[in-house]
Amino acid sequence: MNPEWHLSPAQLAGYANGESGATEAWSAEAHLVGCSLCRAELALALREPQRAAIVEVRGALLATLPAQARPASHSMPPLARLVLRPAALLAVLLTLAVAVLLNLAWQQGTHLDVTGNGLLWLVTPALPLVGVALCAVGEHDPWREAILATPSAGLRLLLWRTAVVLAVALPSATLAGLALGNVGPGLWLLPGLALTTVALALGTLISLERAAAVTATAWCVGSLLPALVSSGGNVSTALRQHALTASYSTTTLFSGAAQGVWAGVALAALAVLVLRRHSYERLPRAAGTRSA
Amino acid sequence: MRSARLDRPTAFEPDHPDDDATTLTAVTVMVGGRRRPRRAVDALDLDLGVGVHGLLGPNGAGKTTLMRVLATVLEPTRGQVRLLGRDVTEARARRQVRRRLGYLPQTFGYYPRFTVREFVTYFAWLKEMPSEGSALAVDDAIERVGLSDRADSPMRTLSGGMLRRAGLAQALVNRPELLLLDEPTAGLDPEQRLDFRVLLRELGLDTTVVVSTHLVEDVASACTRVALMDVGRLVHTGTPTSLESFVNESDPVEDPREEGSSALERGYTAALRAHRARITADAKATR
Repeated sequence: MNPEWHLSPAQLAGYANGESGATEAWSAEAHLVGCSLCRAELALALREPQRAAIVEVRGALLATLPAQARPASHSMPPLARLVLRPAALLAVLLTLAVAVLLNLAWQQGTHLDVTGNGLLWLVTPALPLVGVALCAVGEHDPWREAILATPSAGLRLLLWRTAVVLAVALPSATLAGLALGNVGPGLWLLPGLALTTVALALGTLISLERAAAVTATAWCVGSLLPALVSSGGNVSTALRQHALTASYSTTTLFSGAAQGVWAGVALAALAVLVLRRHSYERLPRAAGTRSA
Repeated sequence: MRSARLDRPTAFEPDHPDDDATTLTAVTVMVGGRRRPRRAVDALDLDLGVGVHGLLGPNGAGKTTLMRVLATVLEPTRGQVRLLGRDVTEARARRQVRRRLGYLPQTFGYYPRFTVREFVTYFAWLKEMPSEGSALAVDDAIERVGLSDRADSPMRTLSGGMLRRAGLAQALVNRPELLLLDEPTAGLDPEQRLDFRVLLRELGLDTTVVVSTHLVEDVASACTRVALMDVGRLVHTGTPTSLESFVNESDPVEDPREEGSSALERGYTAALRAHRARITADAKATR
């Protein structure tokens, strides 16, 4: 609150230049403490040497304040860093890169004129699973228990992280497909989303890391089954054969009928996920034995 | 460690305006899955109000399981859990309670790429704190645990005691009304332990603090109430000095191992023994 009366310009000038007497200076100071208007006037009445001295004192005072008194907003990590570990995204890109390079190497290594890119078809739909498993608040999160006690824990946080993984996995897989002369995401998008949803639904029963591993393994075995049968169970031969010969037109898992099945699977898994969503907010009871 | 506190966020309405107590009623927790089921917490009743509550008990007494139930991360097999006046079986109430909760688990690691400040900021975000006030709250929490000089150090460079204090800062960042600390003094050196007790006493003025510990001296110096647990059951609740009344001074059978122990420590062992003797007597009577 500013008082009713104010210092006169003469009084202000006298105080600013140190010309007012002791009594007058005290009364001026007492008034200035409570009156922001006169403080503003005083700042204008000050001349250069005093002004410089005040700036210097202020700077020196601020420098002696402990660092924690000034909130360091610049250290706020960006949202992406809060949402998940960068390693999860790197793993997605690395898996894709290995699949593409291996496929290209095998293409170069053969004297036949082949354009198969089976490894890409094998890896792409399962690609989000790699990232989802790595960014989950799962068994491997060192602060899992403390995170579960926060209001953000649960399906919402998981879906945010899954969305970030998909935002990296889907465009990069599309680019890789275009580079290998593929047709883009048209056919693998639905199987990929279905596999992701299945892993999330399965993650309400077992740990999400294991659910993603189980889903990815099941997908790979299913896709490689024809090649595995013809190669007599030799995995590396089957992989190579799949890489060189398979394309979307030869794979029944991408056919028109299969797409309908994938859509149904995705919806069913989504229903399970929504019904059992609260299991992502708690520790499984069996895990409570580790330290009593 | 500084005593100034920032204001708590408001807009939390318990079911009954005057009832913001934390109450466990007949809570039983079975752990170990279907193959080896074990009652970690056995039909336990507990009332907690503002103040520092020391949860004492030998290893395997069920302290950590009880802390997990209080932290809402473990759902009890049976019984009712009301935290800050809310029944946490309902998802919406649970989420509201979790905004007012601080929890330091017993075991944890670190995120190698995070600094202390980033780590605490991460938890401020997880606890849905408004972003404009969170930078101040983060600094305040780090300062309260005495880690300001290491605020921008990567967590992998911290010692065990510092890491635990970083964990404590995470628990404090939202200025919780219910603060659960599982073995918080493990790994702290004697001086840090003294600082920690001062902090506990200060927090206990307006917060329900539950500290699980096996160190009786922590309880003696910082706790207003003590709850003693053994094999999933509550053996005794009362003030720390009430434990001493279990010691029978005229009892000629003195355990030579107890030489040099404090009155409270002797009370702790005496209360446990009395409870176990009663259990054995009951078992014989029913046989």
